[in-house]
Amino acid sequence: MFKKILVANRSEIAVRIFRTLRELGIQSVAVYSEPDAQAPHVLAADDAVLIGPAPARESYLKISAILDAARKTGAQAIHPGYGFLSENSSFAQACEQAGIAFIGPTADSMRKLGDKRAARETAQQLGVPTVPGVNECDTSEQIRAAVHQVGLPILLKASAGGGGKGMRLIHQESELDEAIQASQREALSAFGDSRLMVEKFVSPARHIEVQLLSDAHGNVIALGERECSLQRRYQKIIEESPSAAVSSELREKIQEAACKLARATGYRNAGTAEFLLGPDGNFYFLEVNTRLQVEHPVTECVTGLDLVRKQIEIAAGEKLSLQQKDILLRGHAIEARLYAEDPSNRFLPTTGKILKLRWPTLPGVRIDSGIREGQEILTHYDPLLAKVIAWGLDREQARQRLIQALRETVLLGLVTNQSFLVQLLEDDSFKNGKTFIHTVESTMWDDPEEEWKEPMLLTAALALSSRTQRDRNARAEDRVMSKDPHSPWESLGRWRMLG
Amino acid sequence: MQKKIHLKNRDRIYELALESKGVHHRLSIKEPSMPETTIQADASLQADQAFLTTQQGRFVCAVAQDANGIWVGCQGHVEYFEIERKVVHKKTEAKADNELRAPMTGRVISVRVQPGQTVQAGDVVAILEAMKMEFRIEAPYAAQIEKVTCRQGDLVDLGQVLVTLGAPLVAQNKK
Repeated sequence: MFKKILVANRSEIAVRIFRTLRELGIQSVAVYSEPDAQAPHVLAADDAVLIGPAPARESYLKISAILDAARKTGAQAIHPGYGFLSENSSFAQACEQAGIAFIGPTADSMRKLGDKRAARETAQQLGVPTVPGVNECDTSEQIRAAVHQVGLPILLKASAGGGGKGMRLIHQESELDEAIQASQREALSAFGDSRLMVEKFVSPARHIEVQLLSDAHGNVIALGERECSLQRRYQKIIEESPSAAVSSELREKIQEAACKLARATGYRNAGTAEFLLGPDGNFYFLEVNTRLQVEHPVTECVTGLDLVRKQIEIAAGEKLSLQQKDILLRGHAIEARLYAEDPSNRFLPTTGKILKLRWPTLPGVRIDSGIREGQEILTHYDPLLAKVIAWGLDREQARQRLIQALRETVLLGLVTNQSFLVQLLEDDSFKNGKTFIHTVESTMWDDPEEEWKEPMLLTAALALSSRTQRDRNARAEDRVMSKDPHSPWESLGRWRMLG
Repeated sequence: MQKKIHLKNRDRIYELALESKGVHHRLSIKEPSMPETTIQADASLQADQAFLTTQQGRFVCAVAQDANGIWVGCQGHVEYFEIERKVVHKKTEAKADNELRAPMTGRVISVRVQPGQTVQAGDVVAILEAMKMEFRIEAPYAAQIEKVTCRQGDLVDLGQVLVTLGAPLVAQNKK
């Protein structure tokens, strides 16, 4: 087993991986960019190495700097988390060449499964159904031809990666030019690869994905499905396991399709096969994410497994200690993603300083957080602040617990989607399990502010007036105490010693 | 003693008058678009939390103050109240709609127009990037570009004016 592992990531996922490393007694190394010097993930590791300035290209995406950090600290393995370099096969290969274990698939199988076009072709060969579409699109002429072949409406996607980056829904021919350029630019900026694919747009569809574990000895098991239909701008906001729309019969079929893909490609690592579930109950393979997913905690809640721990064991060459029959799904888990974004301003990212932060302590509630009080939230990275996850014996209990957890969360200092998450969870469509990929964007959400207005205004008035009073007293006191009005201490304000 | 406070929230300005006697508080709220209301509550403020008992029920609200205002969180709902210091003679500062502003803090990755150029409604004038997402700034109506106040590569703040439009152009054939 490894003695020291470096985590090439930041924020909540790095913090979450460090937790497992501490549990296992493995030494941990964080890497960080300049503005992240005091970030929670840096504080959660045993050792930390500065790898560059704020832009991800010069720090968290810089392969040479990360490998240097691993060599310098004597780390034997690198966990890439999600995003950043987690699906970059050159990075996996560079690790292999440097003699450092990459906690993920081999570079070769990452190329086979991680590339959406290659994965679609593999699925088609294996008889796993895929959404009608065209894989080969390098130039805008090829894209246009593909659009005509498939027929509008279509989705344009980046070939190289997920996360909604580079993705565009196109209803009309006239939107095409602008969309192609924008998608290519986004794909290039996010993944360094501007290739796109064209897909038929299935609607209303659910997003269903299967969690897989595969070891280096050919053992593959499935850990049930997650439903992640509630999305905005193709980014998930609420995820759950199991799905309200998947029967045990359907589960078996989808799991088998997912396992087939992993087996055929010699996949090794935790991984996720994503599917669209159409209104007719047919499912279509979308892509494989060859890494840990943001929403992995819901699977951990219903299976009792620690997926990061499994990833580490698999990367160390261990055999899976579990068989498919050992996997029992118990209860229901729902995750809500807390983002620095403004639901009343087109979900655009927000910035600010976290002035107050208090997490709830409730039964069945898990918080995966990447923030701390006093931290500045900047626009350099993903706006995900934390994930709030609730488990219950059934879906309704999990839902009620999650609502309660979000209501008891205190996060002041910047605009977030906190109350919007509560609104979504309380909505009848979610309560009844009628969730589709376009539910969030096609629903008019009312402004929920009104009922809180009066108590909130009173609170603000009370706090301000008592503070003004306190400040006034403080200033009077200072004047009495200070002998020299020009002393620099005069302009310092109130302070006190800590500890 | 009565305290007057002006707070701005979601483009509304509230004129508040607070009267306190021990734990008993009376707050009158004036806002141009709604009838004047008064609420009474027993409340105490301890550290960063206010405990209120009103006719509506009991509330626990968390507060945090920054340089310009105060954040209040209550049962998962959060609002920011900006302190309006010179509200009396100031009319609501209407944002001119000929100024196209940055909808978020981010980087300008493309400027598509030049001063003097004519654009149609829906034309993209600039593209911003934040967190690896692109956002297109579109002209709300047909007009001539008056000023361009950003360059490719600039880091811009939320609300910063990027492009200023001239008067809306009316189609020639309409009389």
